[in-house]
Amino acid sequence: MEQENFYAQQPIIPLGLRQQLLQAPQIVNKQKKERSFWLLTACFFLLLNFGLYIQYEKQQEEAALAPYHYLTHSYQYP
Amino acid sequence: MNTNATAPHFEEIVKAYDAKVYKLCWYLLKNRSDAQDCTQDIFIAIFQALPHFKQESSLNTWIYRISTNKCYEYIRRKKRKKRFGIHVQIDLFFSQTIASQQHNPEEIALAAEKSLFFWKAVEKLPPQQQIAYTLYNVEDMSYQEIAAALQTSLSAVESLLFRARRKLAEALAEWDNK
Repeated sequence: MEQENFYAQQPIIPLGLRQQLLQAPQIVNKQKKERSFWLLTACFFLLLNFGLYIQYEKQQEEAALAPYHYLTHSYQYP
Repeated sequence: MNTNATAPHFEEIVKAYDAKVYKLCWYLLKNRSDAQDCTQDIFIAIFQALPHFKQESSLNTWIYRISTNKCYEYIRRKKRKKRFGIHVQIDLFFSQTIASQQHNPEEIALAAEKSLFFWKAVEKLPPQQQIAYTLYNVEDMSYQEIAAALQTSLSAVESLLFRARRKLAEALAEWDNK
């Protein structure tokens, strides 16, 4: 094994590797922007869902109270 | 931390370590595109972790620690791919690592086969052994430096290298007996 050095050859460094690596700050910023966008989108839909739920609950409550109102406050009631 | 404040420092790191990190990834992953992707991921991780670098260890050790962690992830991913039947090819370079040291065509062909056999044996080693063995042979790192990069003890590194060498020696002996 000492005679055959399997690690002796140098790999060829790809052209433009350094330029590609120097893009790291831009990639990180882009990733941050993307992450904030998806986070905001998720928050928006969560709030929308919550708002719709509250509205639905209110409507249900009003619907449940409607017959009572009809019976107690209506002129049509004998 | 301000991005602009770290930018020149990061550039210096890229200039000093791009080839070294690529070489390490290349020898560990044995595939050009994987090595390039892994190098990119390593430098992204370095850029993100740079504001938290407390200089408790040397920059060299710190960079190799990040690199070995990322390479470890890639090796595990590669093994998982293999389990699902996706085979990642070993680049042609690895079948010629000792072929260039030969002169006649028959010896060159035999050396190429032996190289491929050796690298396949390296691939079969557990990731930690692969990394320790590669750091020792590619980067000429001392046992202490490898221990710092792998965040392990000196005796663990000795054991990793001993087991890796023994397995590879067995594989090469098997080749010689063919």
